[in-house]
Amino acid sequence: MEINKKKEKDVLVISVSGRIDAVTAPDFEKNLSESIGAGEKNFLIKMNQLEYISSAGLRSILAIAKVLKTKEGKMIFSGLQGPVKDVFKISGFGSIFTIYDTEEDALKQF
Amino acid sequence: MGFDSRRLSEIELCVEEVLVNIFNYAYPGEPGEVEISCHSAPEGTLTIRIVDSGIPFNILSSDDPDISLSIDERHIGGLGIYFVKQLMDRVEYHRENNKNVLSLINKGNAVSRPVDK
Repeated sequence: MEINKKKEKDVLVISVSGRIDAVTAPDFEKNLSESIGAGEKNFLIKMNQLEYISSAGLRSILAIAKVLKTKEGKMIFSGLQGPVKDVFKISGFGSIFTIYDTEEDALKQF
Repeated sequence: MGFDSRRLSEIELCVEEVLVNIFNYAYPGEPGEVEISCHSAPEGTLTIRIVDSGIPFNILSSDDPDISLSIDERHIGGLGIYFVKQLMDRVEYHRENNKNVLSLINKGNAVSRPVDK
């Protein structure tokens, strides 16, 4: 798993590639928690290059989303592919989170 | 065995979910063993058998999470097992010599089950 971050106005764009599984999910959660600690509260998670996610990854996403909500921040997603898209659908995460096809569309929502 | 990449990814996901569940809960506070094996039948069925000697646990009897809840109400657990029950063609569980024996069974050449609801 690799995480790259960039700032677009007041939105932190987080590109995550590779795999978020039981091994990498704690690192993913820690990385995003650090950004929350640094005062960030609008997250766009770009998943164009994410090949795989398991329930451990969803668990981390939900934990971060709950924290962001208490800070009146938000987390939205873009570019879900293949298996990642399926996992979001089956888990219901596709309904509780807002998902866009592209980064451009997603950024308009903040 | 003719599984497409999407199906392989689903099988991989389910195997991870079962193993992680055993790692986290089967042997609280002590080391333990897990045995995993794959069997293919002539008609193209792939069976993945996962055996542990930990706490007896039948994933088929666990409650499904409520996937319609909002972010605030949504609980964190239970999703992995739900994936296994949703995605595998068949799941079988039994106790054998004081062990949990779980079989994930998939028909070969099957087109992925559509997940759209």
